[in-house]
Amino acid sequence: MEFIAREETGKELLLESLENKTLPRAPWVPFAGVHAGKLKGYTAREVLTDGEKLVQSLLEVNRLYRPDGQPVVFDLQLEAEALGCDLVWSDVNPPSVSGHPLKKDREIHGLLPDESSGRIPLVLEAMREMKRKVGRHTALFGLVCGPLTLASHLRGTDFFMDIIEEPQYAQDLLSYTSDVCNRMAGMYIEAGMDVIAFVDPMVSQISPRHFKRYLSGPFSGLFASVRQNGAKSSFFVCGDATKNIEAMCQTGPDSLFVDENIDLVSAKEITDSYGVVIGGNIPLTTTMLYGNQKDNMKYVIELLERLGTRNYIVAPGCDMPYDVPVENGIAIQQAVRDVERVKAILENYETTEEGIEIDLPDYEHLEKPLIEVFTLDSATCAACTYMMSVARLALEEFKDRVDVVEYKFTVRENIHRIKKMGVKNLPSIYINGRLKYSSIIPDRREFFSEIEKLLSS
Amino acid sequence: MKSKNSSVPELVLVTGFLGSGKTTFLKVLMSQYRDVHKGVIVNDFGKVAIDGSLLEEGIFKEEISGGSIFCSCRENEFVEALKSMIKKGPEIIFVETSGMSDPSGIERLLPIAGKVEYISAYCVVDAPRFLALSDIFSVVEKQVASSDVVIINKVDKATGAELERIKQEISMIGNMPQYQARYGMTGKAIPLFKRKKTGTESENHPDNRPKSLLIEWEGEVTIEQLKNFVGEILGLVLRVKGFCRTESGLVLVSGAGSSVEITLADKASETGLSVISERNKPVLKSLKETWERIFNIEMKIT
Repeated sequence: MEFIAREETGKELLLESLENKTLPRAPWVPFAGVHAGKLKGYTAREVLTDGEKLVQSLLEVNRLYRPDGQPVVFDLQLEAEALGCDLVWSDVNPPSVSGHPLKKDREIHGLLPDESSGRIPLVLEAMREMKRKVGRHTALFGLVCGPLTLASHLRGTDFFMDIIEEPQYAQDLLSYTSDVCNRMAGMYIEAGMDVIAFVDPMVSQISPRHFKRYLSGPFSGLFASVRQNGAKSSFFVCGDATKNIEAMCQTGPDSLFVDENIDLVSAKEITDSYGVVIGGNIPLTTTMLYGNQKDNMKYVIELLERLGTRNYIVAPGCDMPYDVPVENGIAIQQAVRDVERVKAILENYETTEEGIEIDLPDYEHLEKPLIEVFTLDSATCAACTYMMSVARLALEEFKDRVDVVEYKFTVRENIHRIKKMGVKNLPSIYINGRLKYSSIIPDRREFFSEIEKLLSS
Repeated sequence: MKSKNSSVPELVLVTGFLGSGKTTFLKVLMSQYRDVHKGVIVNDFGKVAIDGSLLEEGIFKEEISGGSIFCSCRENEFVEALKSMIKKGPEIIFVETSGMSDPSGIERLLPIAGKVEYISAYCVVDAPRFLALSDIFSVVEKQVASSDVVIINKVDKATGAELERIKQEISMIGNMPQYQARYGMTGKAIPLFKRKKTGTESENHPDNRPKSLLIEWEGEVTIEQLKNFVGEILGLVLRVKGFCRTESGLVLVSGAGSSVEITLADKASETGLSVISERNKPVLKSLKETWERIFNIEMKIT
């Protein structure tokens, strides 16, 4: 019998990482919640309320960012809404809670959400669909709003005063919200989620002593239950939770995801000592949203150099802002998969080497349309591959009536060309020296008609 | 009130925990700035008690909707609100942060939004609740630490002894000026405090932040022992505080610099000593040795 070596899938890589194995590269999990919608031109609200649009958007995330793991929905208000909270919607952000059912009537009724509550049916269906479509090669994350944040959604800010003035009520409410979390996790595991992540931003705001008093029990129970149901678990926190990292590890999650407020190197010393995998913390605003490809690649390469590939998962600090430029996500996946070549690219960015003169074509007097594809490297970057494939299709279609050329950023000479042309994002397609497509891969029909217009003019 | 030559707007931050009276104080503060084009950014106009002064004609407004959640995934909303505020051209911009937010990272976001001169941060603290709140919510201390002036609000609802303890707690966090207020009013005009620190990103770098340790033990100790222990370790660490059970009852221990204060307390949610020290300073071994020398019960440091 002959065995054929096959490449490990991203899902296998991620699950092995959660088993504390040393890996050839660190896994990558883009937290594309509402941002997924941007990739298909849908608003945040559309992507969180329309199952079909949600799945289309998630598949686009899967195609462009080549994740090893990806969340299906990132909406911390989902459970709150199912339990009677009012929401205010936005086109570019997840919704906010505006009305709290336990604010006036503080009695905890103990009702748990089920498969028909609020938007849960939509989410479960999207989970099953994603499982069918990409679940073989991508680990899927089911995200559940954590008990502390959910308690503050239900009770409003009065909950923080309850902790001081009515600690027993606060404890009862947390016990109830933990039951809700457990129910959500159960439904998500049944729908095929590989990893259940409890997302509790508020955890960074309380002292370690109060974490231990109010939250250690509930979280320990949740992680034990996820383990018992055969899934992996994760604890997400936002903000400066430095002091709580150890107490969070003690509740027994398989992994912990943090944002840029945490120093990952110091935190990893703690998580390593508990065998907990740590993930994060590409800055959402300064780097992902407002930075460029170079900033993102640089940040990730530095993270990988400091943290290694064992017990570490590359991820944004939290839910990616809607408007993160697509090319930044592409740059990150490239840095994760091809560290050495991206290091070379970063060096090339810095290069101001003299002596290489680039002659640009005389774009005004070309004999035939010239399609120039600028890529990070079409051999390894998925988005670049798609961009290049469209160009190759054009070559097949129009044969010698067009010229197609690829300029890879990994070749030093091309850096000078890219700089001289003023190319800002990779991959991009220029036709006759003009930028036509940046990061977003054109539809074949649209692309061909663009070329036909030039041929007939 | 204010003379300005450049077109770069000034930025004033008002921070403070939920219910401390930020909005009330903001109104008082803004009323001091007459004849100036003002802008105000708040977390949610729908929720703040509006009596007209924040919405009066001629004040530019921007809102950040984030509910009670403060998360780095919502920072871009602040950046966008500030960007559009700068475009409106106010001379001074007041920002009221959300009650649960940690303002220490705000400076790194400002350059993304545009040109502003961050001139001052006021922190409003709730006198009757400050001690209990700062014990539970670590963000309360961060809000004080990031400010240039502290307004101790609702002083009429706290006892004289409580006020003394609050003042002491705040002075251990930083030596910023403290004002006492009722309904956000200090009884006199609040001078404009310019920030001493500019571009503090490096100061806020995680590697430079003090670290916190918690010493816990079972059983009672004596006040004398506590006084000796805290007195000795103060040469080593920046600050010590916490509630402890002693043979004389429950006490609040508070030490910084060379001063150790131990006062009787009514109730505490948790007991133990919280020790703040410089991040890169190895203190564990010395703390354990000092403890073993003074007490004859076992302790645990986390």
